[in-house]
Amino acid sequence: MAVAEAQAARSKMRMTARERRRAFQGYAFLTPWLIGFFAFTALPIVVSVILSFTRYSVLRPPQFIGLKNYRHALLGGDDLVWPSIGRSFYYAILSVPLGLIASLTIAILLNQKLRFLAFWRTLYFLPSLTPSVATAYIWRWLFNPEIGVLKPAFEFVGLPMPRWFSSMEWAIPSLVIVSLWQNAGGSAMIIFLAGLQDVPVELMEAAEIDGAGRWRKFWHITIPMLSPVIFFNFIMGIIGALRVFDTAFVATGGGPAYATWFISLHIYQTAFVYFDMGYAAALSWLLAAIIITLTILQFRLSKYWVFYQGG
Amino acid sequence: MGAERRRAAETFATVFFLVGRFFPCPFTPLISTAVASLGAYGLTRLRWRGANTFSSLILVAYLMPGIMMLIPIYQVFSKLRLTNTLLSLIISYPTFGLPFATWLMMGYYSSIPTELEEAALIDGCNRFQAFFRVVLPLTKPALLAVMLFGVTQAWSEFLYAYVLIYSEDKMTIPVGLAQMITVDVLPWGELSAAAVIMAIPVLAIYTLGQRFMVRGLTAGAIKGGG
Repeated sequence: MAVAEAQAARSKMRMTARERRRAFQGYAFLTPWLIGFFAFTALPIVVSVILSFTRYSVLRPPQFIGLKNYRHALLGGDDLVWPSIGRSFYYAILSVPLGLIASLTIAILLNQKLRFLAFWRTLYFLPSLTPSVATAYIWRWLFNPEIGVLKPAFEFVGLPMPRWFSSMEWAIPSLVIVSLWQNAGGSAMIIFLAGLQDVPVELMEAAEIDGAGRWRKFWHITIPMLSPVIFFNFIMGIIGALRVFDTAFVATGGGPAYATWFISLHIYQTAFVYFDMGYAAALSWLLAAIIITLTILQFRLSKYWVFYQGG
Repeated sequence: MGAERRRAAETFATVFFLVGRFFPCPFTPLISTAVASLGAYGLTRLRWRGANTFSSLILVAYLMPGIMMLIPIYQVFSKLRLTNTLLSLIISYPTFGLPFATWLMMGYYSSIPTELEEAALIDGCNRFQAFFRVVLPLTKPALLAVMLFGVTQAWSEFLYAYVLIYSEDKMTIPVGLAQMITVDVLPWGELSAAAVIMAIPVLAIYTLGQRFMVRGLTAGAIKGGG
């Protein structure tokens, strides 16, 4: 019995010359990528896990302190953690659904038989390629209470202009407006557009013959057919929103009075202003854990509403 | 006021200077694209034990917040005395560039039928020949898309450049611009000029490559979603 098993194992291990050549070729494809993956992705992740269990302020060597960093973050040693996570969620809850609606609307408009389609698509896509620092700066100017362009518009309508970035209530909605400008015509819109062009014409025709109007066709054909794309854009949107840093850092710097102090800004401040690296690593793992959990949850929930054509 | 103005003007001069000096920014995308196209092929087309594990690890890598990766990178680079060099940016950008490039390429490969390369293999090509003669020519649009996205990413990236570079003569444009903004009296004219300068290369790249960029983006999202 044992002999037979050993023989079977040996014959499994012995590869023919052709198989060996195949395996070698496979490794040749993968080796550069695996080196890159380990050096640039796996290594930083592992180092950051280790750092998160230490007290480390750059000047002195790291000192192992177990779970203290996590306890400090979660159990109220740091008053800014939970509110900043809350603000990141508030930003995501406002910006992601609005962004999806805006992207889908633009995609539907661009899916009509338009002239100069490439031109319009470029026009809508450009803000997403514009460096976010430049975007943040432009909006600081637009929202400026003295020289901003929006001021005459508000005066004309006769409404009082909010104080945008400098007001407690409006600071996050202002950043949401910036993100809408930035992302509504971006990759999400392009992906929606491609999805719309994939909706089978036969289905639309069949519905028309059955007497469905535009609205019913949209709800009962377009939306279900688009659901995988909506799902993909939704996940990407949530990930992006929870990680947002550049625009908040440049446009508001987290203010006024911590009104836009997102978790990413809190991690940045802890790591690169206070140089409390161990604690910052723990905080960044907290953020990573939230993002990973949400993504898994969304994948679980997706089977209830996402419809994959064919399979 | 005078001093601030002068400072702003100096920063602005630096920004101009940088347009010329940030030529390394295509360098990282070039290598990332080459490595990712080979790797993504290996992950989607070759049968090996780790293929599924590594494919899902890419998604995990993609989920990691940039600031999280930056903390260990900063540690290692300050040990190696690499901070405040342009080299530090060239080495650190693949942390997000490589997973992104691999992700896009994987999506693209799964949209290409396998029959072509199988035919090539049956006709006596080995894997390399099948890849370089049959598959690679088909992926040209995706390669270009990945390259162009990489270049625009490197051009616009803020956080890493802001943390890793601190002397004015080495700053990248986004950092130079952010630096000008921290001055209390904002030099609006100069800032606007800098913002426009920043946007021009991106606009040019997109205008040249938009067909490929659109295809590169959509291949992965629609097929790879399931």
